[in-house]
Amino acid sequence: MRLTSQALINFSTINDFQNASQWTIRATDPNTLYYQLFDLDNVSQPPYVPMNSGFFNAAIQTSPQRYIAGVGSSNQPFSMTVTFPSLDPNNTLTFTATPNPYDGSVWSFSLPGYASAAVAPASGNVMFSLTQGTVTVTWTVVNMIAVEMINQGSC
Amino acid sequence: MSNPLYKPGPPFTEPQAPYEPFPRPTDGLLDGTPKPPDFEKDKSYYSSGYPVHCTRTSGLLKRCEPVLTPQLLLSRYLKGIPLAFPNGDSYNAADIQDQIVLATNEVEIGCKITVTREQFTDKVPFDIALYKSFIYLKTEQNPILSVQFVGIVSSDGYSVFKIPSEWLEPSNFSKGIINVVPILGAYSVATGGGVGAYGGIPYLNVFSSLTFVPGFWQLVYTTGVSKIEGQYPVVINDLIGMTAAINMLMNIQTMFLTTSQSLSRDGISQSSSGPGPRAYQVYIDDLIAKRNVLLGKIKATFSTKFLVTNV
Repeated sequence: MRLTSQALINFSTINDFQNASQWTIRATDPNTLYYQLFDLDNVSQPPYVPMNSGFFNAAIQTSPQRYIAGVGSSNQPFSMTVTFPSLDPNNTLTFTATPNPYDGSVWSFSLPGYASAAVAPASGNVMFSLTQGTVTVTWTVVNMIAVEMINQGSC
Repeated sequence: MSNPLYKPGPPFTEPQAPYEPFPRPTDGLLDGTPKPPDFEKDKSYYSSGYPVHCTRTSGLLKRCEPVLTPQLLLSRYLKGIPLAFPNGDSYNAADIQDQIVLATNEVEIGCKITVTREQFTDKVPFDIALYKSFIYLKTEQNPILSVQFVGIVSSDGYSVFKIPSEWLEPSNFSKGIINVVPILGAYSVATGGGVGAYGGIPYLNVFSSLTFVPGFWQLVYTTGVSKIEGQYPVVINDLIGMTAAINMLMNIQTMFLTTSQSLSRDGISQSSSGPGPRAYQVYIDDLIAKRNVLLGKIKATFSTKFLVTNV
């Protein structure tokens, strides 16, 4: 089981949101960020089939299945953290996410507004850690967040 | 006259002296293992990472931005170009994201820089010509944002001698150069602004009889083109974007195999011709030329292209 996270934007309800390749936020604004879990190893068919000389067959489902955490007694209790890494240990930010009550594959967490981009989460990779029972799985999503500065004159 | 307590710089503040001097060699274990950076105490220059040596900006011009997004890559370099292959394949957002990652690594290795802030430990040789030039030390990676350690460490990790951070001259950090200028520290002692970490100057004289020693100085430092993590200078993103666009266009155009096609039936015929596998070659050549110029400018900004030594 290799989990991954898909960034969600414009989240209103569990039936009203959009997928995105990354979150784009402004460092000084508070934000609630949403994402959905998928199991990369749980794909019903490979993306390419031998017929048609390897031509892509759009009719075949290629997306991985969503993943709902905490299903079954052995997966209890469960919790999840989201980490924005940094070379500076003082600037490595970790948040505890909460699942959506109507779809356990959708999680969210809130960021406060920061005084400047220097202390806000940094643009780039985001790390996730899911603990179910005694098992913890971790993964990284590449370039999942882009953080804009207010003064963009130097960095 | 002592240094001012606060030196302005957007949005950075210089770590205040005194820096913690390394303990003098004593009996027992001396740990020379590289320590993680402590940006409160590390030696750094008080300017921003980019523009180099900039200490105050108006905010009227955008020079820094977050990591390049697939949408931005398309809008800047690939407008009007269908990212599709003749067999029906196409670049999706995840593919473009991967191309950005590839291009970013390509830019890092091509410019000998790190885009994000990272820590390195180098062992550079002792060279008498450089030693007499205020211990001119060139790091393997550029540009330096902060220095954690400059000293002599044995191959099994024992720290023999650490050059006090007060002696390190940071003004050439942006080009990956560390100079050791102990005389400035000595002057500051005379004016009352220094700390008691200058007793090692006679110790350095011991080395003046040597000529060349490989792996002599150990440097522990952080590099990056931006002091604010995750922020990219626009010119770096420009270089990354062009590199990614060139790679994608080269992949696409080679799949257009035919230069001409014709069809005839019952006395009616139709033919068409095109550039075939050189469909985007003019644009690719333009991008390559522009990228090479920018690559040279960035290397000139963040590193040195020459080094003087004894041979």
